[in-house]
Amino acid sequence: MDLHGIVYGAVVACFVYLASVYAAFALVLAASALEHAFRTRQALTEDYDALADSRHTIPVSVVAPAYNEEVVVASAVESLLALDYPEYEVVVVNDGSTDATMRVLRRTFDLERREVFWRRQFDCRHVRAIYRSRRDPRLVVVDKENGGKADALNAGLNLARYRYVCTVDSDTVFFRHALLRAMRVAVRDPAAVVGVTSKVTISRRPEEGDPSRPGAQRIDDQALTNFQLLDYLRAFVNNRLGWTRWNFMLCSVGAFAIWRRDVVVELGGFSSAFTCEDIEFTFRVHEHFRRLGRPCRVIALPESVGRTEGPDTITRLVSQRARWQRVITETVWHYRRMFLNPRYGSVGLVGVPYYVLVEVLAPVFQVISVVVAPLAWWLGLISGADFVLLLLAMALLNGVLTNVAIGLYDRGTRAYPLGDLVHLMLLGPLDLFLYRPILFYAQAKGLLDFLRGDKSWHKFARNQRAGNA
Amino acid sequence: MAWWPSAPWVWWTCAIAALTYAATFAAVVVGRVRDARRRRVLDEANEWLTGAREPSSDAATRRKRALDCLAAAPVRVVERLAIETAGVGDLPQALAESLLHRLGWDTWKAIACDRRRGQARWRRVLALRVIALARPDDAVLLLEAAVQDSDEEVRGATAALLGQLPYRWAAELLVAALVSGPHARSRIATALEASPVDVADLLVELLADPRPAVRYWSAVLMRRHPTAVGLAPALEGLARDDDPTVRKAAVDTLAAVGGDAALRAARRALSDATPFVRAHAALALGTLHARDAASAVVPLLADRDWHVRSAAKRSLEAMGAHAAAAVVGALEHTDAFARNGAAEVLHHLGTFERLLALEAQGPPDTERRRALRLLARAGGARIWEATLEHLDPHARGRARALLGELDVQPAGGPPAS
Repeated sequence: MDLHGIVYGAVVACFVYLASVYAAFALVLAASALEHAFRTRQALTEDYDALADSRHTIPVSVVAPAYNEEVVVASAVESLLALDYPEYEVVVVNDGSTDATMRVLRRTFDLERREVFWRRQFDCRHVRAIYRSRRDPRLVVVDKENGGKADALNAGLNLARYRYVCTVDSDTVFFRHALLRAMRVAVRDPAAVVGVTSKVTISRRPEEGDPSRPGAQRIDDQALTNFQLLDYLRAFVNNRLGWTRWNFMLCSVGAFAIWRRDVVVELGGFSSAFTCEDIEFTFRVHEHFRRLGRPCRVIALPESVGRTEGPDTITRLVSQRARWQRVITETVWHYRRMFLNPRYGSVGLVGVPYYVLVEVLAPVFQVISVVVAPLAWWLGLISGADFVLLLLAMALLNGVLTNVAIGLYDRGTRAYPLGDLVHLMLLGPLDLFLYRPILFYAQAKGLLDFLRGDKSWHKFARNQRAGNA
Repeated sequence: MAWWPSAPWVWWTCAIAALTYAATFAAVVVGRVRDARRRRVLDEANEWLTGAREPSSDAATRRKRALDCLAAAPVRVVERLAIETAGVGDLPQALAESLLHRLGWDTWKAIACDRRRGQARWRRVLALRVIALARPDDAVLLLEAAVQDSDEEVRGATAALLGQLPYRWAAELLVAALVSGPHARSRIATALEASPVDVADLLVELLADPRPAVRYWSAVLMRRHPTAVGLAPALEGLARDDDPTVRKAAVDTLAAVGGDAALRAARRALSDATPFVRAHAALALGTLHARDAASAVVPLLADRDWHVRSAAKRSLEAMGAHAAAAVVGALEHTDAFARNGAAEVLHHLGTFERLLALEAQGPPDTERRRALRLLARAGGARIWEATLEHLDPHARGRARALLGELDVQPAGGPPAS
């Protein structure tokens, strides 16, 4: 086969891939719209005041691992202690931070050392000390040697007392209703619902302002953060809700995931063998329950539960997204036995193939298309006008996906003023030209890192604040 | 390399994408504008009802104005506002009355009886709400059917609605649903606890129901009515029930009621065959702050079940400093769990800290030194270090030296229970 034939074949493959991805997006989007309508209407029939005061709402242990979070940890823990929920405890795990995280916690929450004899149900590194807050006895702080996020979560779980655990990030500031809104779904069907996750928004400085009121959220003045906000919106609203509808919700976000504790115990806790624990654990839950033929639902909700810190420079963004790509590839590879395996139901037949198509293969086809497009033009296989028009069509289709995500989110929350929504919708088509190239690079880097066997976290450095600028 | 011509399908793809983008853009903006219009209608109606507009006019006039304002809005707008406006009160009532007037009783009744699922179920929920608020006397049979419906969403929404209504019949329907079950009794219990109506008389009767689940929930819900006549003896009887969940609920509620019956039942339940009953009995004694109960709880520090041991520790801590004397005895227990647990409780009660400070400051005391030695050995290095951290730096040095004198080098290592 000559160069002409190879390039022609590659162009056709790229087109087929692109068409498959958009078709998959369209199908999942339809399911997401249905799920969004259902959950929004369901939420409107709930009496939240009664639930917030009820003794029958199941108690929850919130576990928050923290590694070098001195800037935001106090705000994050304050927001956790202010949650509107009848009975819960907060277990913060300082995972051997090398900055002032522990000092900030001690000072802000008036910690006193109070040792307890705990059950070692999950393996974890050496626990140095256990503290309880004099200010709020619901707060327990575990100080341990560094072992990674999964290890820190396991240490926190060893001290968690309640039947449900909510794993959160310590760089996320939560809204007061977060736990109540999420737990209402678990309370409805505790036998089948083993996990619940919900949407988080993004900010450069999540600790600033109180965005939980309708209309009180504002978009950032930095385009990079706003592109990430759109990315989060599309991921949560357009994808995860649809996955929930078809019962293959394969990624509970690390920033906010509720699990039935007995399920975590049964599966042996979070695994340090993977770069990230969240997606791997969700895959493991589905694999385990479906293999045994037991009922299992992991639900993603459309409501925003908090704001997490997003990287504010391209270097930090690349570092974070390369890690995400590596984690996805690691996990999908590890659980490849579920791929197109009818034993695993919708997870095996739809969920894992969807991941392979949209996430794992994306960097491969992106690299191919970058190489092939100029060659195809040079060989006269595609005209310059076609190329530009197709790029424009792709940009507009991305804009459509963005608009639908914004529309659904806005219908449920009315969180942003109209001017901000218009701004975000105008950014939608630009995403392909200004934001996607960064992600293309990060995803390709992540794939290479996976092939090299890299397992490091590459935590991005905290964004600059007024105090440390 | 060529720029032109391009294939027609490429132009079509681009044009369709552009149109779809424009349409979705417009849909978001229009949706938001319509929402703002709805909010204005709602705010205006609310201002009339609360007297923010024309406060000098009488309530009936203001109410009429509010209804006029709602009547001027399209019925779909008012429907949406009724869906989005939670709870009961003047505004939800006005919205319901407006909708009932606009579409008529027959239409709403037909919708309320529509048992289809999908989107129809939400309209049914709205219809039930409209009728319950605007014509409560005609809502009883509809709500009775809805709260026991096969559709979980309809059932749940109806239970929440019944819990908000200030009518005796609404609470009675909830009690009936609690009895008939078997669906989501915890949600019905939540609605019953939120209800403004007192149904203690109905719940007391259910304590003698033949079904364990009903006895359990009635015992749980009676916690809200601790002064109900005949409650304590009935619960004391249930504390000997065949079903362990009922025994647990009885002990819990008795702890809220208080008195000798509560103490008797909790003490008896400490030796229950079921671990969670023992755990709740221990917690109940902690809640009751029973001075002489500590010695009865201490043996549970050596229970074979982790939850019971944990509950015993929490109970003893809740009892406070006067439990310390009984706990000290467990420092010499043959069971390591009991020794560890006792040391943890004394650490949390501040007993270790006080003993150390007294011994470091005052003349040596043989008994105190013995207790300190036992405590330090049972607690291990971590509890020892934690206690030293609580002392001021000056006392800490002396206390550290004292522990050295007592030859209580702890074994160290992570605590395990």
